[in-house]
Amino acid sequence: MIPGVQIVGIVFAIVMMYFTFVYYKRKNYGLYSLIVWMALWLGILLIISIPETVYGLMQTLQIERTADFIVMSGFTFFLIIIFYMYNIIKRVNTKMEELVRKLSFQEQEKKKK
Amino acid sequence: MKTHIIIPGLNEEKHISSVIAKVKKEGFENIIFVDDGSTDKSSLLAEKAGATVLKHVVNLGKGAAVKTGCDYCCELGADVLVLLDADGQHKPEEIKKLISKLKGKDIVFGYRPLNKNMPPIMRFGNWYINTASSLINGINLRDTQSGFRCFTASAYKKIRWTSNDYSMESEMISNVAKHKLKYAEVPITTIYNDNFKGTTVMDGVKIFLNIIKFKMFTK
Repeated sequence: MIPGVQIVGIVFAIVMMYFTFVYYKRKNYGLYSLIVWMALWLGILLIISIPETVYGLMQTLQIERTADFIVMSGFTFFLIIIFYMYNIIKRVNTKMEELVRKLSFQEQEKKKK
Repeated sequence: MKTHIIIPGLNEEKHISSVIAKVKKEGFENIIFVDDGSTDKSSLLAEKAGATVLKHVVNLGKGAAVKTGCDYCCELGADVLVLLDADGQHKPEEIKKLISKLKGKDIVFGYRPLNKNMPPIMRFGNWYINTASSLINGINLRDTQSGFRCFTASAYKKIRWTSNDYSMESEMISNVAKHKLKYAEVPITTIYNDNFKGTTVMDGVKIFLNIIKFKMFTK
């Protein structure tokens, strides 16, 4: 019998796949993003429904429980995402600053004419 | 010598007209008001008072506003750049005092002598930031956070900061130390119109951390 936590995990992955597809259809992002996120949710779905698939990797990493493996993988994934977001925000900030400055110069030039 | 006065401000409709009028009275014509996303009539009033207005469509912070003003003045061929706050806390009558000290120097810092007019929290904040700055940067300045400064356009190219907020003043000092620029200090009079404006306690903590960051990571 499938334990409750597995059911929750499976439902979570399916719901996330649904939202990923809906946002793709709404053109929030392109095909590349759809494939990356779908691969992630499918990976989670696979690990939760058939934990045996990662036993080999868990043994190599000396992790005993599948739950620990999921938590650790999730944490690593979040750190990567935070780092990625930090870089994006920095870049957007710089671009916004340059844009705002450029606009203020242009506005002044218009007034002069 | 082409001197430009840069006044950054956010929602300063109460003071901006009188500040610009006083600067003009001192004989300065090149006055740039950088409106950092004000929602009041600051821009309109500054323009009426005779300043050139550069308007940020969104608020970016003091550091970014001053940078906009300095970049613009450099494009216009300015030789000397003077920074002045828009809230009327600096006396435009003292601009000439700063400029006269610039001879043979790259930058002149205005400093607020410690007195009873300064709110206690500001006095403490200034003391600890000044001490940290002098220990870390090796420059002994009496007031590292005063916004009343003047520098040459060539010095600006060396000290141009990356900070968009109040940390700009600290980064500027860090860059002065790194490029071994010649500096001087001039006592200035400060009028505190609003105790709740300007640098907060949290800004102070941030500035302290940034002083360390600028020392370690800024080229």
